[in-house]
Amino acid sequence: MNQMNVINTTHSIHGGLHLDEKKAPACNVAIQEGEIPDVVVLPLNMHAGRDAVAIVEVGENLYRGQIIAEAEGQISANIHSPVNGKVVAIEPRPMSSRSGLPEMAIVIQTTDTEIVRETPCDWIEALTESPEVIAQSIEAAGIVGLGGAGFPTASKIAASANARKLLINGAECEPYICCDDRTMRDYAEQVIGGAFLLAKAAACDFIEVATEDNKPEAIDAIKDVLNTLPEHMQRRIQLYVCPTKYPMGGERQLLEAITGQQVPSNTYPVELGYLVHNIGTALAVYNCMTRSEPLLSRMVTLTGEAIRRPGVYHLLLGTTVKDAIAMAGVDETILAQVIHGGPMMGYPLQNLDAPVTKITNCLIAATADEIPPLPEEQPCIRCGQCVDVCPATLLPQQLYWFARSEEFEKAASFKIHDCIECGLCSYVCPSHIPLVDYYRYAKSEIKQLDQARIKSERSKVKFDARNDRLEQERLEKERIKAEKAKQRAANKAANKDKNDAVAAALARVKAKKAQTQQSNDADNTSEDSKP
Amino acid sequence: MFEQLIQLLISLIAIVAVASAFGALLGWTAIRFKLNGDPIVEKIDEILPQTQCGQCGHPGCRPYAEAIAKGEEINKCPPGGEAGIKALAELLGREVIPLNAELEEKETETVVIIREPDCIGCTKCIQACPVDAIVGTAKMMHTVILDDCTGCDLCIPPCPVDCIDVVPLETAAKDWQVPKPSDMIPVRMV
Amino acid sequence: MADYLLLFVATVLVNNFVLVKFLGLCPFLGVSTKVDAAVGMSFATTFVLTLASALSYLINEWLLVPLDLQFLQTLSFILIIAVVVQFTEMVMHKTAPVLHKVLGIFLPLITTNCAVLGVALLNINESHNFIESVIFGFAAAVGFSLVLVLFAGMRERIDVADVPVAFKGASIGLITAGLMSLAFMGFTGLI
Repeated sequence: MNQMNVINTTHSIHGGLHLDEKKAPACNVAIQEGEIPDVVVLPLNMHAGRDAVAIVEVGENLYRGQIIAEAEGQISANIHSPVNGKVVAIEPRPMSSRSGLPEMAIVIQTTDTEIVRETPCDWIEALTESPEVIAQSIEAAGIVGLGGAGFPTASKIAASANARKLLINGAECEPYICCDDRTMRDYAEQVIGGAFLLAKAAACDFIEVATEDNKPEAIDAIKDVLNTLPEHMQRRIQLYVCPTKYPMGGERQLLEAITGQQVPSNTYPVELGYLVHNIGTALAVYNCMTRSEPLLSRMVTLTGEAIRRPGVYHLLLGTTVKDAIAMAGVDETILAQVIHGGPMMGYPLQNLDAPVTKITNCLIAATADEIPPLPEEQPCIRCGQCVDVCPATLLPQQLYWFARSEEFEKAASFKIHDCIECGLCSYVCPSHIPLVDYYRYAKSEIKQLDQARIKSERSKVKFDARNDRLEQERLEKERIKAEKAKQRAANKAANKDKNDAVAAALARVKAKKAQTQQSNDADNTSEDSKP
Repeated sequence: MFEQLIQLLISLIAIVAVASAFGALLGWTAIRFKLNGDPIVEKIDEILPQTQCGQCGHPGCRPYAEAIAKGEEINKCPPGGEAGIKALAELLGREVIPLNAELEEKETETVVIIREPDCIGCTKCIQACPVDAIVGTAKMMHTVILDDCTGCDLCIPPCPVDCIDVVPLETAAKDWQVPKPSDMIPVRMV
Repeated sequence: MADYLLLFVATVLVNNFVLVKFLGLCPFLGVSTKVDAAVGMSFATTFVLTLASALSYLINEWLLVPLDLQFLQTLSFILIIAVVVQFTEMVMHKTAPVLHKVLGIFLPLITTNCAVLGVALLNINESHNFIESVIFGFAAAVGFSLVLVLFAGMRERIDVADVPVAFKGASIGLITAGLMSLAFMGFTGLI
């Protein structure tokens, strides 16, 4: 067991900005266990991909960890009940999404107020399982990326078969949020265990754990765990420390800092040979393999000036936002809004009955002064500050003009889909233009236009097919008619002799009739002449 | 005087010769590069929404595209809406005009659903559907393939028992359209 | 050889037909709303100009001068230009119908483009030989295309910018063209 070295990254990222961290006081308190709520609301879609399909019914009794919805399709995730309880409803409920639109959810009434978790086995033992078993367990456990995008982990592993390196992303860069920081400090060993398990499942040879230099305690905690590893494992893992800069935590930016290369446009980190996972995901994989526990809870930073006991809480999925902030002691008299996510990429929640989902990493209970409303949008002065800070090396100013004038093809050709929506351009704009909102608008319009185009192409194909079918039917009818006419003509010709005979007979009958008529007439006249 | 006449004659002959030579060249070009059909119709048809509803007065989108190529107004397509008129105007270099006043644009996209208890299996709606989106046969249940339905409503008049309902297409939360941030920047006339 | 290069550079930049001689302004302003249309127009004009320049030189040299009919220059040059434009239009209608539709009336209007007739007449004035005539015509077209595409690019961006209502459209376009002209004056003394 040697002393592990830490590598300080030397490459810088494009753009980016140093932001006021505001992680204290939340980051200075150890992780607290959240209370068990009375009601748990689990939407059927807490992940990227297709909705899961509910497999329970209203009135059914559930145990903690029971699967209640099954993944559907290639990219989807299972959902499990985090509590012992009873299903009271399966209906649309307001969601903690940007739109706030109601979505189908399973609502569970909790019956037990205590939760007993299994003691975990040693993760080195769990590491003896085969990669297929680990990957299948991850899939069955419904684990998704807990960094915020919620991409199903098993699907990501399957799609990154060519990745030889696993990057554990602990570079939590957004202000206020400190879940990963505290997780590394309080559960360092579990995180490293989860990392090795993920590496085995994904057939990765090397693990890189990366974090920022504003988390010295986390760095020490990880270093301490690495120093206790046997040498053959120490050779396969390395800790990287990056300079603190927003958005260092974006996977593309982190890869740029570590490797000096940018992930090419329209591709994924697998192009550089990397599979990237979040600290929280690694912890979830650890729990899955050592406790046979599916994804039932996650770390959420509860902070903001309206919160009396800010900190990172270990919350059950489905806890409503109202219950969550109450656990942390919210002062409702000064609460102005609750932001889901961080101040850069998050959004205000319309309905506090919305649940904490797999993609909720932070809830900021803000006062009116803390996050004041944005001043009115003013004309663009073409200063170019947005271009300076864009970490994806895009041209935000041009994208703004295109989005505003609705020239969406131009926006797509200027790589609007590479925008990670980090919010730096809006942050620095001196005219307070909500640039990221324009890009979201453009992206949604492009998506809608693409869908409309696919639909209209399909309609055209069906219309042409129908016309062809009608044309075929018409030709068939004509053909049959022509054949029948031919048949009739042939019959007529075949029966010509018969007809001739018939005609001759008719002629004879007619002639005879005429003769009899003549003789009758002659009789009549001769009768008349008789006195 | 005679010389001037000669010069006049020579210049006349020269010009006529040159003009006829060029005229012959143009004549040959006209035959060599003769057009069969109008390729612009394809481009117009690509912009039209392919609803095949007939509200423009033509039996389908392709006939309307051909009519537009011949000079018909571009504002007769309600399913295409303003966006369609704008795209057509851009393609053809014509002015953007508002939708024909007699035609109404639907507020939301719609599809139709057959009320199965009332369906008598007469196949009249199947014959009316321009994209074969209704499945069924004589004296058997008819049903609408919702993914294929374009919302043209051509099946509603023929149904003898009026069992077809028009329902608005609801957007799933996933397909929520992000609203455009207001761009009402006040500009003062100086 | 150096003379021909000098002639080329001078005609493209120093004596640019649009921004310095102010010929051919109609298509310059009419087709410059979209870069795609501008590029198409440049190809068409280049083809017409080069061909018309060569043909008009030949007709002048072999028909008009020997028969002492120089007074028919304008008439015959216009005839040549009209024929070349008509030919180009027919070919384009078949091979690039969208471009043909987009250019619309501006394609036959190349006939009345004073830059084309200007090139033909200037060839006579400057006593160019055949090669010089062709180079002159081609260079004039290159200069026209360069400025047209640049202007189209700028106009596309100006179209979506916050232009005051009174200046929207042709007004800001002409002001921009004037500024471009000022910029091109900087090429004086280049050679």
